[in-house]
This record gives sequence, C-alpha cells and structure tokens, in this order.
Amino acid sequence: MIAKMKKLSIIHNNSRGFTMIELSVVLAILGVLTSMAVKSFMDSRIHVMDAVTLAETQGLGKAVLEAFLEGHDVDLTHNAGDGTLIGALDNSGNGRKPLFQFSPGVRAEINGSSNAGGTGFCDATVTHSNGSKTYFLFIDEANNITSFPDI
Amino acid sequence: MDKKYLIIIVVTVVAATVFFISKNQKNEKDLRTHESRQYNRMIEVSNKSSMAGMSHMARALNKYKEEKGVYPDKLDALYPEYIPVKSFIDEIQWDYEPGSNDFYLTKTYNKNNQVLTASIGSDLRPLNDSMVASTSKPVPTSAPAASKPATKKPGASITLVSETSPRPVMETDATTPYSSRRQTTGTKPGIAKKAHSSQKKSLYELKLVSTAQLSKGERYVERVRGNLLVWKQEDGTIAFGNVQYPYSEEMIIYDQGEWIQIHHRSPDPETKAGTPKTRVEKKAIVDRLAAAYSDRFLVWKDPAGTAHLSNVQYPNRQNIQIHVAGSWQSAKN
Repeated sequence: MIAKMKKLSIIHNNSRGFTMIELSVVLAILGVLTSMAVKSFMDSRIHVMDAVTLAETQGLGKAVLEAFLEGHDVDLTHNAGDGTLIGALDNSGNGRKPLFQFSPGVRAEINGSSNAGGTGFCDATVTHSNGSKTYFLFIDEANNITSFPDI
Repeated sequence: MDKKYLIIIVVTVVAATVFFISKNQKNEKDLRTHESRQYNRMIEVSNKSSMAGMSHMARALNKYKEEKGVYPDKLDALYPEYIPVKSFIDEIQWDYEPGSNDFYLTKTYNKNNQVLTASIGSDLRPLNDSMVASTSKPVPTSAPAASKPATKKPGASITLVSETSPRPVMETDATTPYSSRRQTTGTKPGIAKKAHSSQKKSLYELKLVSTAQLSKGERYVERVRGNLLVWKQEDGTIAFGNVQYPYSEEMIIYDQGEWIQIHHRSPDPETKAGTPKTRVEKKAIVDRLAAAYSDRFLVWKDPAGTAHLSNVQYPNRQNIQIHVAGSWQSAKN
C-alpha cells in the first residue's frame, strides 16, 4: 500500500502545470493570431461593401438608362446626405415615384436629369460608408455614351 | 525569461508585422489601381461628352471650398486629397478661375475633328451643353503661342496648318458695318476695335441689327472670347471658332460684352455694301485679297467668284479655284 502511494506521489510531482511565462507566450501568440484574423475579416467586409456599391451603381445605371429610353421626366440630382431614394422628383420639383433605391450605407452624389427630349445625362459618384472604393457612372443620352464601372 | 520563449515571441511579432504591412500595401495598391481605372475611364468619356468629368471636378472644388474656406488658386491644389489621380487634372484641358463664392470651370476637348467647350458653375449645372468650333485641332484656351506662317498644300484635300496660326479678329467700326476679318499679326487674338481699312476689307459686310447683354449663364463666354470667335447657332447653342464665322444671313455674334444680331447684307456677288459692282471690279477685289492674304492663309474662290480664306483647310469640293503661287488653279481631289 505504501509503495503504491509513493508511486502516485511521483506521478503527481511530474505533472506540474504551466508557468506564467508559458501562459504569457501562448496568450501573446493567440492575441497576434486573433488580430490577424480580425484584420482579414475587416478587409473582407470592406470588399463585400465595395461589391455592394458596385452592384448598386450598376443597378442605378440600368434604372437611369430605362428612364432615358422611356423618356421619363426625372431630376436625378442627389447629394451624399439625401437618403437612399434616387429620382423622387421630376424636373419641375414635383414628387414622383422614385427611380431607384440604394441599400443602407450606400451614398451617392449624382448630377443629372432625364427628359423626353433625348438629352438626359447622369454623372454619379457612388461609395459605401463602410467601403473603400468609389465608383463612377456616366451616361450621356444625346451622345450615346454609357460608362459603367466594372470589377 | 527562457530564451526559447523570447524567440517564439519575436518570431510571432515579426510575422504579424509582415502580415499587416503586406495586407495594407495590397489594399493600398488595389485602391490605387481601382482609382486609376475609374479616372482613366472618366478621362476617356470626358473626351467624348461635354458633361463628363465636369460635375466631378466641380464637386471637388466645392469640397475644397467647404474645408478650406476658399476655392483653390489652381486645380493642382486638388491633388491628391480631392482628386487622387493627377492625370484627371492634367490630361483634360481645363480652364479654371476661382471667385469668392463661385468659379469658372470650362473644359475644351476635341471630338470628330471639332473643338468643343463646356462649362459648369458651382451649382453643378452645365452653363451650356456644347459649343462647336470650326477648327480641326483643339485650340488652347490659354494665351496663344506666337504664330507661325501657315503651311499650305494646293488641292482640294484637307490641309492642316499649325494650330498656333493667327486667329481671326472681328474688327468693328462705329461708322461702318461689321466685317469679318483676320488678324495678321501674332499678337493675342481677340475682338478688337480698329479703324476700317480698305486693304483689309472683307467680302462679307454685315449690318448691325440689335444687341443684347450676356445672360448670367453665358458669362463663361468672356473667358474664351479672347481666343475664339463666338456666335450663337440657330438652336441657341453657343459656338466657337478660330477660323471664321459660319456663313448665315442672320446670325448672332459676340463682341465687347454683348450679343450682336447681324444680317449679311446682300450675299449677291454683284453687289457690295449696296453698291453695284461690275464683274471686273469684283475680280480685281478678289485678286487683290488673294494676293494680300495668300502668304498667310489658304485662299480659294467659289464658282460665283467669291473669295474665301482659311487657316485650316480648303473645302472638300471640286468646283473651287485655289490661289497658289500668285495664280488661280482648279482644285482637284
């Protein structure tokens, strides 16, 4: 019995646990790895927001082209803080059905108008509040010029 | 601390630093590439459409004004904070002048061998759609360089001369009708009042009908009128040219701060200023004009015997005669 207890005591003395230094090193490595993961995640998020901005810009372009083709009377003027609705007024300042609605976070500065005279144009700069890239959209109906952003 | 732990920590920190730096550099490079592509596309369409790029530049100017309180003295001041790609400023022919609460911004570009100019105000509204000029090369809106003698080639094919060739002047005289003339010196072209000279007398004599002041939206005309002839087309579009006014019996030209509606008095080749001329007299006038101007301009006459001058090209017609080496020759394509 005594011999058995001595044996157990020897085993216990060999499993002595981690020192503070060992724990600190492991925690430091984990911290560094976590920050790298967070950075990658944030970058991915920014890329997703940029992709959303690109898609929204192309969607706006298609909506504007349709308005040009159908000769809608739309004032496209829009500033960054004007909300998400685009083309909610006609060229006389009267309310109309919005031409396009941006997703939350997408901001645009647009200069342009659509009319029945075939002289519509749209010069838009679109970005996302959490994104990094800015996309330009330009459509000149009279000169038949369309410049959509690509990836 | 145990040496092996220290090594592990150092290696980890170095690896993390390299990771962050390379990530940031990659993101930065991606962003620069993206911006470059976006702006290059804008530059490309800016050379096709009068409105392209104007709003963007005007917005950048307005943002600069919001943050700094004044408009920049030069567009270069917008780089890189407001316009991150310098070529957008350099490769488009901007003409900019700041004001206290507004600015003049015009863009001149070449499309289909025509010079077009567009302008925009701080309210981001184009002041005018587009203006057609009659040259086949872009004309700088800044002060022109010294003129060179025009190089000419006979024949009906297009012949370009230097874009720094002397540009025309609308000379006016209070007592005589308006006449379209050319400035024969290399000094800054413009619309100037000069005494009427029979030697410079044009075949086109014009009669003043009425005048009107520039409207607010037409103030940009003041910016270019020193370098170009300015007139209004039938649809009200403002046009510029550095060669000659287009032939039209009724037209509105710009001179001395006002629009002047003019009427070509008798395009009849047999009459000039209401005085009948014989064919012999007219031929003598045409020959004298041709001799006087053929060293600086391309000179030709149409089948009616009317002489024309240009520093750009002969008309693409076969039934004209061109003045070469002191004599008239039939044009051949």
